Amino acid sequence: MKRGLQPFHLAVLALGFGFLYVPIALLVLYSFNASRLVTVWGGFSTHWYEALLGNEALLASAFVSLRVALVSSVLATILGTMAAFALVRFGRFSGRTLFAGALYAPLVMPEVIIGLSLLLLFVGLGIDRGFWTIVAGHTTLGLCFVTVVVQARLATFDRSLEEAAMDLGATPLATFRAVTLPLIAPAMLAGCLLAFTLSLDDFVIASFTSGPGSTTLPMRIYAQVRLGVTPEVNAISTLLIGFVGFILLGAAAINRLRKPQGSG
Amino acid sequence: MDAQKPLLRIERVSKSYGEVTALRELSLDIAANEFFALLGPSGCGKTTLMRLIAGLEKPDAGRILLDSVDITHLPPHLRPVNMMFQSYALFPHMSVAKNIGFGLVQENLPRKEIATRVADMLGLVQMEGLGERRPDQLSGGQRQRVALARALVKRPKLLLLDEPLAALDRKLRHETQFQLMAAQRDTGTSFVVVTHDQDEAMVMAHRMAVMHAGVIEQIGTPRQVYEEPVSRHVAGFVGETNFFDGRVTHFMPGGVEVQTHSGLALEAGCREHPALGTRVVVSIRPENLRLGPPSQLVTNGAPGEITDHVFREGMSSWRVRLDGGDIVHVRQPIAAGTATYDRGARVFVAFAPECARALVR
Repeated sequence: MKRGLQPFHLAVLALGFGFLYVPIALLVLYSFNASRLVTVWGGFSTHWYEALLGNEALLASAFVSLRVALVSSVLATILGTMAAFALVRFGRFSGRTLFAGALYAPLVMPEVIIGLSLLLLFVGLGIDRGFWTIVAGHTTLGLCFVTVVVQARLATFDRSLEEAAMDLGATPLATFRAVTLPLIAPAMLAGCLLAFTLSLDDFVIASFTSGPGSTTLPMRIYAQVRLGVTPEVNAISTLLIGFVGFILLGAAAINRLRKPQGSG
Repeated sequence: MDAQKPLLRIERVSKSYGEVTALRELSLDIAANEFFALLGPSGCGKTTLMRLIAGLEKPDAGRILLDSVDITHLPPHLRPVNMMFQSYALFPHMSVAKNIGFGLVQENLPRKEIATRVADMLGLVQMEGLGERRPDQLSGGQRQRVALARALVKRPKLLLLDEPLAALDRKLRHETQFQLMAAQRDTGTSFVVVTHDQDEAMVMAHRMAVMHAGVIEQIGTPRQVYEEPVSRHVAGFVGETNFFDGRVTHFMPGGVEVQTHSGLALEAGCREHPALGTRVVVSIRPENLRLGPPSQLVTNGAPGEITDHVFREGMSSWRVRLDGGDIVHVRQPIAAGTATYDRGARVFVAFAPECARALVR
């Protein structure tokens, strides 16, 4: 095999990355534009980031988004871990296939449909939409991602570790706390961060399940863009991209770190 | 040993997984301070039996008594029995000292006492100064010793060892056998080793049980089992042997004469009293056969031709094709003045009837 990049490979790589990231790079670039006009470069400035601090509506939405993401990712982690245990440890209980299917459905189902069905549910039950309905929607979405990550870790978990702990006098609860939990914690944390960013990013489900006073950041950005793209929107979007990117990198790093070492 | 009450008594224990029967009404007594080996091929039920003793599985029927106390339904964390796992099952997120001290922490002992006893165990397995290492920083042999220390630190009445030497290389295995024997003597704990390796069982155990298809075929000292196997399976599994299929033709004091299918007439010792014409198999160990010049003529023996000759560990091994068609394996120590035979040589193979066993099963 030849080492190094050949011109053809380089071109393919550039095209692929360009396709994915040029729009985002432009957005980031124009967030530092001194000009008010989005399409005309007027020199470098952090003016729009300062203007953000004065935009209370935008900041309030950011705060709502963070709270929703925090609560829903914690709930998704707890429920998702429990679901992963059910799938890996309970053997072939009746309805297992249905259970697994229902768990993984949000991975492939269009978000519009999830949002719509949740909306119908909340309307049908007469629940006022607001903060908690968004949390419920995002928990549903996040828990399937947590389940996938934790399930993978549990499937390779050496059961004799738990047996050894019990053999040495640990009660089932103590075994879980001292052995099982520390070993699956990295997977749980990675899943949690994934759920957190999904919640922060989500626009579709939030717009179906939100109510008055619970506008999330992506919804607020969308509303502003409809009135015309301002560099301010670019700035908040850049911050969002930076934040989410940072967390996703963290999740990947945590999941790679402390993968159980081979027993050789 | 038999006069005392046993430390562990297993009474007619059965266990099956779905349609597969792992143990069939198995009974067994193990004495205090005994080194006991459960020997058998994979799938014979020996691992299931060990997991039942540890409490990791529940029997379908039967009782398990430890010091005359029924522990059949006691969960594993309440049993004064510890186990060393085949994979060692060291906790990867804890240091060596934390691993060893884990069982003591569960008993809520004072930290000082835990530290002292962990240090003692590190000394016993010659791992002083390595207490802060993580399991993945240890060699295979060191991990094995940590696992042993962790299982012994609670001073269990009975220690179960699941294939304790399987993951070690040949040379280390040999040394570790003697370390395990010393640990058993020093602690006075009863050791129950599960193994598929008959060498291990022969070297270490005071007594051994040979298992096959969920039942114990024979219990005895390694020597008894080797010299007087009760069945074809035991004779074949413990040590090497030569088998001759045949039928009983005469009775003799303490034995029978067997006419083999290949036409030999062999005298062999026999514990049972089979009827004339019963199908039996005669087992003769390779070291109980002797080679002589073809002119020699004795009753128990047959002429043949050498097909292979191997020298190994101070012993000469020959493969001989007897004129009747049987192929036998002969092994003799090399001593000065012993006649040797090469490939193709004509020889006479002789054996002493007292060393041959006729097996009905």
